[in-house]
Amino acid sequence: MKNALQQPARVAVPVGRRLIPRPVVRVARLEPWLFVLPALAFVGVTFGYPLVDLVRTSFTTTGGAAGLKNFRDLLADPSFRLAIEHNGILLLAVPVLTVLAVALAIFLFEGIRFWRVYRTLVFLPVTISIPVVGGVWGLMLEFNGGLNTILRSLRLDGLAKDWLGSTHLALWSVLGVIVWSQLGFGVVLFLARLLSISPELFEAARIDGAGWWRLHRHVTLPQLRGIIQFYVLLGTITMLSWVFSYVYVITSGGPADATLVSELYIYRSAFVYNQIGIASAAALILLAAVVVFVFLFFRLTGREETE
Amino acid sequence: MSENGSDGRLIDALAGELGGSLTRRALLRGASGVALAGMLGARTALAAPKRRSAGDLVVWYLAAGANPEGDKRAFEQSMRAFERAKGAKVKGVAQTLDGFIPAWKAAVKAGQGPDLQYLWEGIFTLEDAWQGNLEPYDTHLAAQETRHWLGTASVRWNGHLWNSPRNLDSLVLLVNKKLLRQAKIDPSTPLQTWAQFLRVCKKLKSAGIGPLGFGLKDGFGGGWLFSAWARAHVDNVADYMRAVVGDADITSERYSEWWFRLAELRDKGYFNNDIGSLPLFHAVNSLFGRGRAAMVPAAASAIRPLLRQVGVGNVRVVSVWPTFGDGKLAKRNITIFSGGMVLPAFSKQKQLAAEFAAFLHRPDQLRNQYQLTTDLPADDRVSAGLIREAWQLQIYQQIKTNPGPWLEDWIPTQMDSEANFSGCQGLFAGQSAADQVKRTRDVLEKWRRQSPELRKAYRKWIGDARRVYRT
Amino acid sequence: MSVLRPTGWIGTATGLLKQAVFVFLGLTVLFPFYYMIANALKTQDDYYVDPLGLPDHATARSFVALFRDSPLGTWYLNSVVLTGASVVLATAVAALAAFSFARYRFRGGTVLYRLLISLMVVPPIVLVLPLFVLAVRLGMINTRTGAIVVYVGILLPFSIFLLTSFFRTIPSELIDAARIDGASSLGILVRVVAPLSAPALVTLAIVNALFVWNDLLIALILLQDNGLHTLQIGVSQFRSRYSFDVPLMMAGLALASWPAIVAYLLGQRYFTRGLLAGATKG
Repeated sequence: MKNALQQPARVAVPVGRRLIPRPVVRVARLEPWLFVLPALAFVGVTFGYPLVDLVRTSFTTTGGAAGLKNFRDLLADPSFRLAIEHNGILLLAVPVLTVLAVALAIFLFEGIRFWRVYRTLVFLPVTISIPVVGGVWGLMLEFNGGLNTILRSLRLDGLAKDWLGSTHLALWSVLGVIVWSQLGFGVVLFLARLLSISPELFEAARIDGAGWWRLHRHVTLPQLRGIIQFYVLLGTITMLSWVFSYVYVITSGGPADATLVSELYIYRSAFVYNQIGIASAAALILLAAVVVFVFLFFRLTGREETE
Repeated sequence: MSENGSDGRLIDALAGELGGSLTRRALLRGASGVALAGMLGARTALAAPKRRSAGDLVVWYLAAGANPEGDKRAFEQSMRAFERAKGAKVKGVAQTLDGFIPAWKAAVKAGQGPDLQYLWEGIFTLEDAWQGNLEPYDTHLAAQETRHWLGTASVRWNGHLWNSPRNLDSLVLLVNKKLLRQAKIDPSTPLQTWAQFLRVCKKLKSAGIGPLGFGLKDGFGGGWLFSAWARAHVDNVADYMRAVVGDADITSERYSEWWFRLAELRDKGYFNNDIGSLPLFHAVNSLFGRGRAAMVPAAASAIRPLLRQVGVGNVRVVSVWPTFGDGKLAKRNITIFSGGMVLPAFSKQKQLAAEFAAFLHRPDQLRNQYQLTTDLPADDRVSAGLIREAWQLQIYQQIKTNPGPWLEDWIPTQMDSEANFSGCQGLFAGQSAADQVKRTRDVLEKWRRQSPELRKAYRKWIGDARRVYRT
Repeated sequence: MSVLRPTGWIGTATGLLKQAVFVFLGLTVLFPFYYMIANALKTQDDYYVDPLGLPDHATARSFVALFRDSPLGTWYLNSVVLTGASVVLATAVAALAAFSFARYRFRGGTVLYRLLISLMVVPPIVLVLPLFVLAVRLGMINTRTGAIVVYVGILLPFSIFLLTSFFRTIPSELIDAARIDGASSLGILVRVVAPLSAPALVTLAIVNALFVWNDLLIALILLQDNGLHTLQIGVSQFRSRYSFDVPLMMAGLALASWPAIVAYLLGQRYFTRGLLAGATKG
């Protein structure tokens, strides 16, 4: 038991082969593949043909073969660069979400009254369909909408901004709504992890005289590290390619492309502008960037582990 | 494996905790339930409807207009009537607003899908025609039939007709007469010239009444303002299209003055201050409906609820927009048919499909459609006597006798979205009119570079455009 | 964990502060539900007059219209069948693959795993055109089978990611012991790993079910038959180009949302436990 207490939590998010426990008993060489096979079949059907098709169409236009024209057009298009930039800004939601979720999880964990009720409430936004989220927040954030009405009645007129109509604020408003609706998943995730930490760990630290801050800094956070890494990778991928619905229902990419993101760019090229080739090229670039990112992520978190 | 010590203990604790609720028996029960559900799923999957036989006509339609549910019923009833008349089976597939374009593009790519497809008018239809996805109507139907169809100017290309219109629409300006009276303005004061328009706006504003109400958040409003005012100086659509394709200078005053006039309205504070954060229909309905704006742009098909709120007697429908130019188009109504049926090139049943499109235009079907939707059917065989409301009759007469282009239908979709939608949003977020002129130029340059094939076909369209809205 | 709580007046003050934070959060969370229900009970005109307030004259008009004019039963059934089948299949297939990734070292395994995770980034929007073509060629268009296969494919990258992370935390001793007892690998997965992971599997099932239940895009493209439409598609049919019946839409969304919310509330017990277990050591 003593041993377990001193042992820092091991990160189980994949961190390279070193840490994968080795099976003691030898198994047939093909066996791991047999287990992966059904998944490969489904993924192959769903992604295989579309990805091949994506590569193919990214080198064509409506007029036929186009070589690298789509890629050149894409890189020369300020809208595409803008879209990528906006995805980059939305990535800031990941640290915000993580910090907030960890903080709220710790609050709940410390045992405040009604914590079960709050835990349920905090997760509920995840179950609300995005059109409702967009409808509600769209109304609340109107220039004369709910939020500004409240602010003005508190004599805070200076704070009553045009949240969705201003080209400087709209993206931040969208980011705020995404944080609001995704926060619950993180809180529940981290809280669950905290509940599974052995109480002795905290008591031992307490006896050693650790204060609130040091306690969480040296006991809680290390214990959360693995799950935080999982959450960060998931959040990053979400901000890069699962924000379409939010943007579509909250701002449709406006005002003046201030909330244009790469998915919306792809959607418009394919279904509004009749430029399938450009849409495919954009999707391909996005995918390649993320593959590189995922490999780098594992490399970095893995290296951290060896220190 | 010492490093797993803590894990093991935790899992043990966990298993102990779960012991009460999750015994092996419970798990087994759960697993068999899961298996049962899986089998059920597979069974229903197998029992899913068989694919159609060769003789069926498949119609992918969008129930649209003022009353989508009524329109859906009208479509279904026409299909049943056609089945009785022709002995053919017709299968209707209801689409959704956000989904029908992706579904249609997918069908095109697969070379399989509907025999008759719902599609927007104008450029939306023609961009498909240019890519060889459509079959024109005139090869299947006689001119005696198609000449009755109204609003088809925007779907004629290369001498052919590419879409069968369903219902007519018109962009009008609604005026709240009560608010005008409050501001001591004669409610029937002429609203034709820009000076008249500005005078009314000014009086309203100084009486503390919001002159104009609108919303740009979802972008579409930018296309409406463009359609209302970008045509001020041109005599025909082809004139404007030449600037799009690059034969004339889009930045010259002739084509770009509307941005500066819009900036003038903005600077004088005539629009609502939340124009940037309101979606189009929400803005029009709430601002006009609650009397917060004296004038709003509106689509004819969406007027009725506003009349109900403000009172029919209190609303004046301006069906020719006030404007600053003296181009011939400036004095015309802004007319479209809002969506119709196209013939997919891959269909094996083009003739039958075309006949169904014509069947939808039979007077009895049109009458039924009107009664279920109150949208104006796009056909001159509808008796004007059917229309009971004065305001709707007024719009219908304008559409028939003084039709003009809804200019948005005549420009590349990319220009509409990136120059008009974004431009109006940018303008009302504080950017200058000159910025928007530059934005328009840049977007068009990009479009010409990125889509040389579309540009070529578009250039050809200018020839057709010379022949429309002449008298 | 009361041992962590500060005591004395500092404790009271921070306790109050925390309560305030959570009450505020709770209110913003409940507001969308209020919004959905309140507006479903308004007329269109009332909605425009006051979109945020309570209905002046509550009317069940929208709900009546939905029940009268729409094949709600068919929509519910289709949504349930699609969600149930996709989730069951995805969970089972992901468990197999995750077991392999978590418990074996094999050539190419790591690279394959990372590539699979990367697929999470492919936006469904770029998949729909080619998927339709493929479904047509395979004769799976307008079949539930086709849609289920695609859903499973889309759910797998995330599912494998989550389960692999979890399976790695199961102590090797348990597995080794089972192996020495002569259990096959499949036997170990079914009898040792799955029972220990039951909560994690429930967690995954809920998250995946929410995705399929709320999906519009895939169902729309692959299930064109009126008889195959899901709740989300059915509800979206009430939007048209120049008008938008918000109360009707909200009533439809309310009818479409309650099963997901009820499922969450009922499954929450297992769900949080699943997260609890799933989070063990990451």
